[in-house]
Amino acid sequence: MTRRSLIGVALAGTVAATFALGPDAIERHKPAVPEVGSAAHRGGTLVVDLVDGASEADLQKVEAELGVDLSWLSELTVDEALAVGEVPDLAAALAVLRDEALVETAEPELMLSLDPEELSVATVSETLPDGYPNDPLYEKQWHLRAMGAPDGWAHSPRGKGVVVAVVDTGITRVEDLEGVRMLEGASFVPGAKTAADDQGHGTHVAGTIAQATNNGKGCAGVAPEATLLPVKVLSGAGFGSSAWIAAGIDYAVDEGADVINLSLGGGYSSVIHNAIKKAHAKGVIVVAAAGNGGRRGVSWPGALEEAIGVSSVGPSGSLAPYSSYGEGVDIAGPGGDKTKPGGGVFQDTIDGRGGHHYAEYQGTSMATPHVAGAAAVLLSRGMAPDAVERALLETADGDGSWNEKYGHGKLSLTAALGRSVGKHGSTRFALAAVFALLIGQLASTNRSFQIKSAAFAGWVAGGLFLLEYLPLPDLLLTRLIAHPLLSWPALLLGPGFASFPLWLSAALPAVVGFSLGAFRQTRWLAYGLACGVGAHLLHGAATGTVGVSLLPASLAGLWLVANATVAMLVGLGLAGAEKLEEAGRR
Amino acid sequence: MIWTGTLKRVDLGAGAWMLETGDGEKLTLFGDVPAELKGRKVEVTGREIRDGASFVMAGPMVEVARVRALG
Repeated sequence: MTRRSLIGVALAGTVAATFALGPDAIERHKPAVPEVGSAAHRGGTLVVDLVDGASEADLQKVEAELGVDLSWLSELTVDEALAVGEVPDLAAALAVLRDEALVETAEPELMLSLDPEELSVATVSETLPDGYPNDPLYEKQWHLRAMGAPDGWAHSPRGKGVVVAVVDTGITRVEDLEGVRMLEGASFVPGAKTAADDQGHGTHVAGTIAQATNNGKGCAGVAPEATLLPVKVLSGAGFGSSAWIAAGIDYAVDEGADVINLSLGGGYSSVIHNAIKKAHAKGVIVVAAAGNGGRRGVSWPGALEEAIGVSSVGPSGSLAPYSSYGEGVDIAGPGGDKTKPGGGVFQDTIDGRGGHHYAEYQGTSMATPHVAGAAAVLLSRGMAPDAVERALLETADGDGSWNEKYGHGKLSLTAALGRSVGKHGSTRFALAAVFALLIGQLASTNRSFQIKSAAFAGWVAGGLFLLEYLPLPDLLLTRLIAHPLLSWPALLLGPGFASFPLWLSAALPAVVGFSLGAFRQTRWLAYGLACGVGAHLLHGAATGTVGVSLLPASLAGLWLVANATVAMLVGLGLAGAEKLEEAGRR
Repeated sequence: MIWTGTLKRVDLGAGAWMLETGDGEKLTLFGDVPAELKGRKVEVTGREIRDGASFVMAGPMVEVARVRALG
């Protein structure tokens, strides 16, 4: 065997090994979606989700078919085209609309509700613990330590640039949310003009996600640098509807939410399902509670394939007595167990008398925002949304298999953080350097060219991942240097830009190859870039850690492999050019 | 519809009222529930919210019209 064919075999072996390391798809255990339209022949409010951008004329056409008046649900949702109207026979109306091309889905309006009773109170004051964080009640927050929030604070931008929508009773800026980034948000509850909380639940949930941390007051939150988007879909009086919730989800997506927290649930709703499908297709991570039935049977939308369903554990780490379980649970989060002293989840919220208090709640509602906050932390570190979902489930603390109580296991931000830069950074760094050395060897380039370009290729694919472990100031510059080049758009522009296909392609290596690659002094950079991008894309395809937006999931892997191949060919061409120029000079 | 059972306060999130019926079914109650009847046998008049769901996520939902103590 010649030396070249040996190198060729080594290259092929490296590529094959990359794929052999790749995981299988995560096994999800989600129940079948119930048939919609089995409503009895009774009258009621019908929610009609028309195709996006449907016009007034389209609405009139649907009205004519039904023989009733419909009205747009809210001005905020005209683009999403949700309309409601009273019909004399819900089943008949659903049958009429089943084949109507202008209608995406339709269903009877569901009412969701909550109780207006006063909140349970746990106003406590403790001495300040030493060190970070200096929030006095942090000592009570066993739930943050249980899921590894301190590792998030220590190692990451802590959710910076990530928008987390709290689709709930609204959010009020209580004392310990002062200074937290928060958008104006909107209310979909008739009679509630703003997204302010008039119940307490939404503010408590928001606190777990992004309570002001290390501010010397109250409690801490999982992702304190994240931006909260308050979306009020549940009224303080106790009732909401599936239409309001669906509209709230659509609105959150339009407002740029990266994560949607749904600490609510109930019966199956196709309108809510449709909204979540759209959110998921746009790369939004949807986290939803498993329910508090204390028995087998997960509530919707937590049971949906497109949502991460969260069951709840108490301080001992075992399933809380109230938590629902079964098919549909993906992960368990700390939602508290108040049968144990201090076993609830502590956050700041409104007290129902115009003030605020630090309240101890329990429920899968409380477990859910721990997962949403962890997702925000991971997104802020430049991971793609599907990589974040995969990391959360695969690194959850369990026995490696799914079970009906904890899903894939208990949430561990500590373990999931290992998927962000460190672990893949080192693998990609090594892979890219090996590619650069092998291809350079194949083209018989000189040693100095190979070493320089291999080092550069390593940085392009893996970043200077070791910087993550050093106590450096958390500056944009240090983050950029520590991260692979392909993570830069996400770091600079937000997680939504992590998966843009043109960036995750051979375009940059090709452009740089034909420009910097034309000159001897800079060719090693162009060559290293081509090998680095090729290795990153190949590794991403093999491990599922790189998501590609705008493409169907079935084509994403093909896109990455095809572009990795083109990038490698660009590299091979550049190495060949280097060799020819070298030979010409002799 | 009318249901009878024991009125209970459950500690989930912000707290919720439930009616535990004789056959063990737990109904989440919404509306005006007199707190002083907690723990008592009561008769609840109201409307079941079908196909519905509740923030409490713990069973069927009833919109309460009236709660009356029994015995």
